[in-house]
Amino acid sequence: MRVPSRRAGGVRLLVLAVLVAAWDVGVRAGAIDPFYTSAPLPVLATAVRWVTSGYIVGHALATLGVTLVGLASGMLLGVLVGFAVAFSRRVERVALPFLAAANALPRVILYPLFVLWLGVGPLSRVVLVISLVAFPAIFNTQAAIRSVDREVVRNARVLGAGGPQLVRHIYLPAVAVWLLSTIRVTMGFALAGAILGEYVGAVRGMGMVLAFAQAMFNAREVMAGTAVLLTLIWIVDFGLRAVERTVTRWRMMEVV
Amino acid sequence: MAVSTLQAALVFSVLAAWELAVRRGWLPEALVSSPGRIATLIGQWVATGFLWPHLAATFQAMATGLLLGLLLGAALGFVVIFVPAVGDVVEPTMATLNAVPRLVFYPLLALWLGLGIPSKAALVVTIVLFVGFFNTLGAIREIDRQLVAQVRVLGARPRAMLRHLYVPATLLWIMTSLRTSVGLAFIGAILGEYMGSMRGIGNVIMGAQNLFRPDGVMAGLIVTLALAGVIDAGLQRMEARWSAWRQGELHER
Amino acid sequence: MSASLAAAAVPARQVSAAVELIAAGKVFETPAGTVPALRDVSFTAAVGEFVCVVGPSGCGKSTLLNLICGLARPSAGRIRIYGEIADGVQPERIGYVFQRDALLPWKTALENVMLPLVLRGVPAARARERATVWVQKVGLGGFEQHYPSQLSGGMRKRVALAMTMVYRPPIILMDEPFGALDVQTRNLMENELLALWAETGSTILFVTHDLEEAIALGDRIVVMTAAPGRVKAIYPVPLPRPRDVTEIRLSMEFMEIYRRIWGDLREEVMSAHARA
Repeated sequence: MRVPSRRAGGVRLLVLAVLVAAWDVGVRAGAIDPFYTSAPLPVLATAVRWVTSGYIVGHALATLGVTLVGLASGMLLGVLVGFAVAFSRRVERVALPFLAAANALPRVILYPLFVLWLGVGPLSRVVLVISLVAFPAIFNTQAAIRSVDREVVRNARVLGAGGPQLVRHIYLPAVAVWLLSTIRVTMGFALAGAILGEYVGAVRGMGMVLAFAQAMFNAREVMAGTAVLLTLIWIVDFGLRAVERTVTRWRMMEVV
Repeated sequence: MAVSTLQAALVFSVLAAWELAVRRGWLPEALVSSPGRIATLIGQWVATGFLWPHLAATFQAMATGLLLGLLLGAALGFVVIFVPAVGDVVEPTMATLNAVPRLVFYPLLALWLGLGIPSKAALVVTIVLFVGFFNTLGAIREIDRQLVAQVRVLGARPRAMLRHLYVPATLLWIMTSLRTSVGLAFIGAILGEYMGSMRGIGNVIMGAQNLFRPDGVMAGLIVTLALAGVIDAGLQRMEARWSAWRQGELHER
Repeated sequence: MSASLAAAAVPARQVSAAVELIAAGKVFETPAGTVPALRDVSFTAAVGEFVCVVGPSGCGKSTLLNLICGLARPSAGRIRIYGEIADGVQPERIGYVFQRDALLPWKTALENVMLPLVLRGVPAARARERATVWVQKVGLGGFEQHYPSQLSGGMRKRVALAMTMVYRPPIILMDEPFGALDVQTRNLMENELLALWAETGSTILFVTHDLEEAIALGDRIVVMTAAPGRVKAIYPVPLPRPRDVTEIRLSMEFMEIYRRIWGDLREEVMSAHARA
């Protein structure tokens, strides 16, 4: 990819501003029907009102909560199962075909089943997120463990490292590297699961806010809600990238 | 994927155990239903013709979205490559947007296009667009520079370059990723139906869930997964045949 | 038909030089600074001549061909094709066989050979006819429907040759076309090339690092210096034609010429090595 100049970033903001301005002009001129899109200023006002009144905070936290709890649990579960599969031939032989089949399944469409069994509360959404995240975690943990150079392990054993120490000093770091490299993708899955769940049936959460607004044909609130959600996602992504950068720097220092 | 007899036996025994457990009251039928009831329901659906209009609706959303999404994605990719100024703005934007789960945009699409097939097709477009786009970029950028030079030297003008070089290269990449694209399109259509629809297999599942009918939910899911499996197997066969020319035997003279 | 195509490409007034380089030079701008690839290169190739360019690796041989072909512009000096200043790609006059075979992977051998004709608006049926003739001429009869991935390296090279010769460009540039082939295949291809050249009468500029190949094939040999490339010397090759490349290597005259030129070339190869 051509490395975009700093100017390109500025141009993108400019293009965005122009689009918003065109939107505004279009509505005022009657070319765009505000019933479908509302107009920039009312949308902004709604978003600001939501934030300042604290209305949206509860919903945003609900969404984030489900996302993060599901993500963490799913990753943890995945890593544990991944270790089990990687270190026990028996577990691998028995479990792997089922795990592979489950992984090939598009688990996100199972959500109505989870609702049926666990109700419309956050639990069903957390379980959905776990189901989305755990399987990639299992397979990537297994792959990360397998990718460890046998020479390194042998060497460590000779130096006197026992099982738990090997896990701590060799295998966990290998898995952690993978974790970091795919956390942005898995975060996407987790968010999708949380939002889907909230949209389809929930009392709280950004998905619910959007579902409600859409059902009421309230274009202003749909636009505002989408904007807030996109901002939220951008903040999360920004945070992840910052974490990535710090950890990478830390790793480089460790190596050096 | 060949199913071994052991695996088949395992699945069969699980189903048998499930049926037994429900009959004996060990498992609550109101929550998990039973293989017998589910099979009966699917049979009813097929016999009464209930299923077909729903499958047709899902398929229509999926196919329209897939075609449109790949075409638009490829077109955008071409623009990005051949108009570098536009590319500098559009490419990073696409990369950023790609990180956003596309169902975030569904409420907007539903607002603008209603709850019918168009909004589902539009959701599929937002998903598949990116596949088409990034594949096109990859395909064109991967073309050997010497190949480009050779075709120029042979006398190709820009339009001929497109026709003989860039478009075939792009088509190749898109074909290679067709299984993924189709899979994503299918899931996208169903998710759209979950989020609000009047027809479609996803709609059937949601309907059953709203009525607390586990047999309906299970039946719908089984039909969906079976369909997904059949489509994928078909694509796999097509892919194997069509890519025969890519991995040919080398004849040593 | 092909004769008239070639005739249309060559200007009416008599020119003896197909390709002229006059003090041509080329520099490249890299992040590390300007790199001179060629400096003050001058020589001519007469119409119908087979000129071989030899030099150590990195002496800018490929750049030279790119300049002649019009894929790049000279930073200094002039290049004339049939007496006219070269300006951009001239597909009617100049063909190019690249080092790595540049076949379109999604077209069969026949379709690849048809391509230059199709690009010129030759109707499909006629294009297919002519392409088939050339596919057979390069010895690939029976392999017309094979895709490049189904052909060996030598066979792909033959397709590349056919692709360029099918539209009979009066000037053909070749950049170490047989470098990737094993020795037997290479000799085979060299003989085939000579046969095809005899038939078409094109002017050929053949770049190689293999001095034996150059002497076996060429009428004249241009020896280039190590980078930045300059013409070190030009040697005529007065060996009789028609030649068989495997036999001619054993003749006394061949060895004489070889010994004479090798002295010059070796200096440049050593200096290129020392610099690397």
